[in-house]
Amino acid sequence: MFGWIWRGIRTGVLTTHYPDRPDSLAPAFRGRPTIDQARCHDGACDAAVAICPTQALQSTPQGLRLDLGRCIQCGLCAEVCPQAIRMTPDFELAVQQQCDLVLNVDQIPDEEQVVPVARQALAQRVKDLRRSVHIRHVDAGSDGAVEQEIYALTNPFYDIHRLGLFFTPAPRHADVLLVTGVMTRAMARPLRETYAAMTQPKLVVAAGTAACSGGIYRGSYAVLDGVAAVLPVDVFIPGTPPSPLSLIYGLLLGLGRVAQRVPSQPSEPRENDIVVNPMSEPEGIAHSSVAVGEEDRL
Amino acid sequence: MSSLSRQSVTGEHYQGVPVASLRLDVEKRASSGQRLMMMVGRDAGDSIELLVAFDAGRQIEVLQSVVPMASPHYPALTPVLPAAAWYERELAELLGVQPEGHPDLRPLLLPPDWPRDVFPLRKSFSQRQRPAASSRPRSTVPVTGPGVFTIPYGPVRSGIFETTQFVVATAGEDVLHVDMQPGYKHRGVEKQFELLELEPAVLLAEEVSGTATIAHSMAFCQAVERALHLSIPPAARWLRVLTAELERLYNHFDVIARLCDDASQSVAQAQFAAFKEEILRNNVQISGSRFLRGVNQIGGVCRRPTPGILSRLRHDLGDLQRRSEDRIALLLRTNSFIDRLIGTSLLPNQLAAQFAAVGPVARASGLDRDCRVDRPYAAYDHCDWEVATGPAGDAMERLRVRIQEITQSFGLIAQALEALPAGPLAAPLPQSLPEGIAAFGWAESPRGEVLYWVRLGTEGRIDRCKVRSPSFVNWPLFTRAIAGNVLTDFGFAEHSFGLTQAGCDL
Ligand code: SF4
Repeated sequence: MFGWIWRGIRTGVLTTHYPDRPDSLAPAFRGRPTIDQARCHDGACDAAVAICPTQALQSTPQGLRLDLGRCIQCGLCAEVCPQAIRMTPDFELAVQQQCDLVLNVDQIPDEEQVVPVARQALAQRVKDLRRSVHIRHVDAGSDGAVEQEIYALTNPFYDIHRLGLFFTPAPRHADVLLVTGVMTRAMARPLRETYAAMTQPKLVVAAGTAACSGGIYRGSYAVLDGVAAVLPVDVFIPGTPPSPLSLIYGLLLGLGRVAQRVPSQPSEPRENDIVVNPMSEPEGIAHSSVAVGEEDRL
Repeated sequence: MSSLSRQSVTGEHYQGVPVASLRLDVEKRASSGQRLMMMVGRDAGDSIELLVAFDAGRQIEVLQSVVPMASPHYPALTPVLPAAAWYERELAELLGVQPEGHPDLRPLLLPPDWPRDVFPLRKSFSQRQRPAASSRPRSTVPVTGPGVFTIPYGPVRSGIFETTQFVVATAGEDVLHVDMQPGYKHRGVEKQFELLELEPAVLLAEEVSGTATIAHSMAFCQAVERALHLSIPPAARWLRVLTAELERLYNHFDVIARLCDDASQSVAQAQFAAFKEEILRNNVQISGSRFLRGVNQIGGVCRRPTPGILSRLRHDLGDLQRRSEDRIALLLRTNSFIDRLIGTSLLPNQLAAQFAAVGPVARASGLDRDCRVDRPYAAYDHCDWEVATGPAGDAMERLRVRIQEITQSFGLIAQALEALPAGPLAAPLPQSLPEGIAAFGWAESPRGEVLYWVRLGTEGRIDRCKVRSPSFVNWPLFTRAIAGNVLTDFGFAEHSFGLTQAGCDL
């Protein structure tokens, strides 16, 4: 016993201070592609679109379009068109609306350009959760790596207890439902039942590219193409798998403790926002948050 | 109408067998001690081709039978070869070929509401189909007796686990019987392969089991490389060894951390979890991904780390090895920990052999099998190391085997860093890809042998890709080893097997 205590002390503090102080993954980390289409020549970008295994990259009359919810960070596009496409270690990719995952390339934020948009409806819903928050994880068809990353959140490097975040096995005590995986057909019912067993207010976080869209399994006979097909999702965290820092960012985004960096798109408030919490969500607020997002972007 | 798969590579021997005498042939091989490696079914147009692959030392011996599509029946092999049980359930469910006389043909992998007469691996079923729900209850093996009750664990489990379901029959403290219902994570992997071209299919192989990225992508690539007679360059061979052993290291540290967690050894848990994290961070330097994605391609590897990164890796791992050996030595002296493992979830040698166990689970039950040595690939035939085995078959022995493998992985990585030559990273793919060629590919993942069988179709597409992970083989053994244990040891038992669900459910 003493041996362990001594070694524990000798190891010292490894824990990150993220998000209070910025942290980063190694520069080699493939977080997301950035695209500067003006630098592309010889139509290499068309080849990049053709090689993208999940159709995350598409060409539209307005230029290239990147769907972060489908991108599996393989880096093939950047290999095919290195002049215009580059992989960055950016990990703060989580968003609050599925449509925000789809970027026209001229919208992709620079490192400095931060767009503070927190959907007010969501903020209202989670304002009671700020102190200590309990998370229930459900796997809806992952490849197993994202579970290891979630498990890593409790290791000494990330230690999310310092942020007041805890895991709980009991749905009734849970504030956040953290769902991983492609959303298999077989898990639709068990997932709905878990959600129903949770009390209000509750947040649903889809963790991983697979949970955002089905990823490379999109379209398969056994897959429903992402968690949003079954539950109202409040936060989407892209990543194959999302790194522990991406998960922390996404969870805090859902709790209104950090701002969304990916630009927000105008959208109608979802029906579900109103159904879930009719008292705390006057329609006007939802609309005004959309207006703010719009102005910031323009 | 496509013809039978052609034998095209050394180390694989196909033998045609009339379906009526298949069972007899299989029985002979089983009683001579050959290990069942895999069963594959393939829609060949007007028939279904059945392959039964046995491990005959350096050679894979394959019995090849044809079942007419018009009447898809054959005599079940499970009665003479228990290890065939799950393969035959899979064949019945996904391909609609009925093994007659099989003792248990409940659905294994498809969703509970899937219609019984729709077979997704038939060519007539298009991947994009999503048939309407039908009601089909799942039953569990009934265990009756006074005071016996059943507890379902899962599919939504308590804690950060992959989804699966165990139905535990107990009379209080002791586990009498466990029935496992996998399949909740079934994603249609094998059908999805048929949609992709060869090169992007490597990315799918990486996502079959995300904690064995290297093993799966390597087994897939090697199957195609063997079918095409591609000889991969030496640098790629050594980089495959390097990354495969990094994968083994982080997975083994993860298993130890989980076991410490089960025993409430929180400091030890934190230490081993931190070791694992250090390796994942090194993986980013090597591959751009914490789980080593984007390393393999058909013909070799995609990238080569710079000399600076490699020398830093050598230094970091040397340091990590020293610290981890100190913690492991202390762990083995921590009685409150090892007392929980000794005698827990015992897997006797005979049972392991009968059910064709693989990986550390097999080796800890005294079976000396490791495909890095048995059928060497990459650069393993140039490596100097020994397979770790142990006779006891309990959770403690599985831990001991993993601990020895950690030491050996550090050694193998050092050898790879030493030997890594200059030169090209990949052999080019040939211009035309002949239709109908097929081959096996394998790799020893941290959990045991990963086996692929790939057959090319027209225009360089994949006609059939059969994936068999070590978890698919070892889960049925887990359910047998846990019987007779107390319920509170469930976590120790499960983590000492160290299996995944993603690789099993496909
Ligand atoms: S990184 Fe891969 S998945 Fe993402 S856009 Fe590029 S090619 Fe597509």
